[in-house]
Amino acid sequence: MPPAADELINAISDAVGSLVSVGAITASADNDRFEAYVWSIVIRAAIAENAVVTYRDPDKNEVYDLLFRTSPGSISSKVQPFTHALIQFPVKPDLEAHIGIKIQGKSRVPHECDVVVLPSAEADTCRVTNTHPRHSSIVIAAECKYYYSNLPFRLSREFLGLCKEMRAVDCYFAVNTSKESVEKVLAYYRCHCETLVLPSASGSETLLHAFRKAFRDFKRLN
Amino acid sequence: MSIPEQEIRRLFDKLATQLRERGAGTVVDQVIDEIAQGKQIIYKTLRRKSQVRQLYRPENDEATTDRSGRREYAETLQYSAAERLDLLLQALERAIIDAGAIDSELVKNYRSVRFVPEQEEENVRTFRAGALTPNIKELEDLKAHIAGLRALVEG
Repeated sequence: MPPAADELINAISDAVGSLVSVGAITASADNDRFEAYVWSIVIRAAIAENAVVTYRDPDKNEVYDLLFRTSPGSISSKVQPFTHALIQFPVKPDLEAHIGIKIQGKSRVPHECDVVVLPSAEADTCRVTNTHPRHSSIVIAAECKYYYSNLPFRLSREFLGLCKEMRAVDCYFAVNTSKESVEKVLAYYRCHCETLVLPSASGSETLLHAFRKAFRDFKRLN
Repeated sequence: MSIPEQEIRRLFDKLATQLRERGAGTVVDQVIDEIAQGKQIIYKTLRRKSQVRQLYRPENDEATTDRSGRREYAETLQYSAAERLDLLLQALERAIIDAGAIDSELVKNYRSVRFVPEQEEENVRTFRAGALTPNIKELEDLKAHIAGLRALVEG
């Protein structure tokens, strides 16, 4: 005889409880992992477009163990040896991919960006002068959201605000879930929006192709 | 045979309460926000009644009115009791199964990934990728229980 609904609910709750005790369902940690996952898609896209990618600390030493921020900070910070990827296309300016750094928007106010690709020259200038990179230098700015429910509608308004402060063409909204109304608003304003970005879902491949196009455009223009 | 709506509401409340007690309140809160937000927006085209006097609104958006005077209105549909319970189950799948898949993907692609705060006083949020990966049995059990509950509710 199959178990009754109440028994299944008890079993679900017990399984969830044991997983919570080992660190599951921590929204901030799930968001941090998701940002790292989207960053890894940027790296895959760069490699697919024939870049050589290495991982570096702020002093440009090559590293193999990656260290990421749990909250946004400054690209010039040396409090911890946070990792970025150095992306090198043949005979093109070097690029860097960072997680969780601040970017100076059109209003000149710094904004937190989850995943950012920018020229190494801009990053070097900011590390030396202790400033934030300018929005005009950005190649990719991805806003990453990991949600357990479908997307809250307010996220579309927040992303439209980011697009207004950066160059909209460089901004990508990458989320693990979806919501028709959010997608509709972002489609209306012609924003890059990739839903269902997960290891086994189609959104990751779509996002990979969008990033590859951004890198191809960068190579054409530089 | 499907479960009556009132019984499904009771099951939702029971699961939500137990999840909160076991430290998964964030999942419940997000689902409750989603329920309040509504399921879907549909559009209805209504003909304007000629005898109804319209308020003068110089800023009216002409796109919402066609030449025959029909107007498009948006309506938000609400989730049914069964859909609400399914939202909670889907949220659990994202919180545990999908998050575990992302964790595994990072472990597969990189030798070591560590997340630390920039400021020392935040040190409660230090963790490594891979922490969620070893719990395969619990994950498989959870998948089976969720599938079982879905099958019961759908009849």
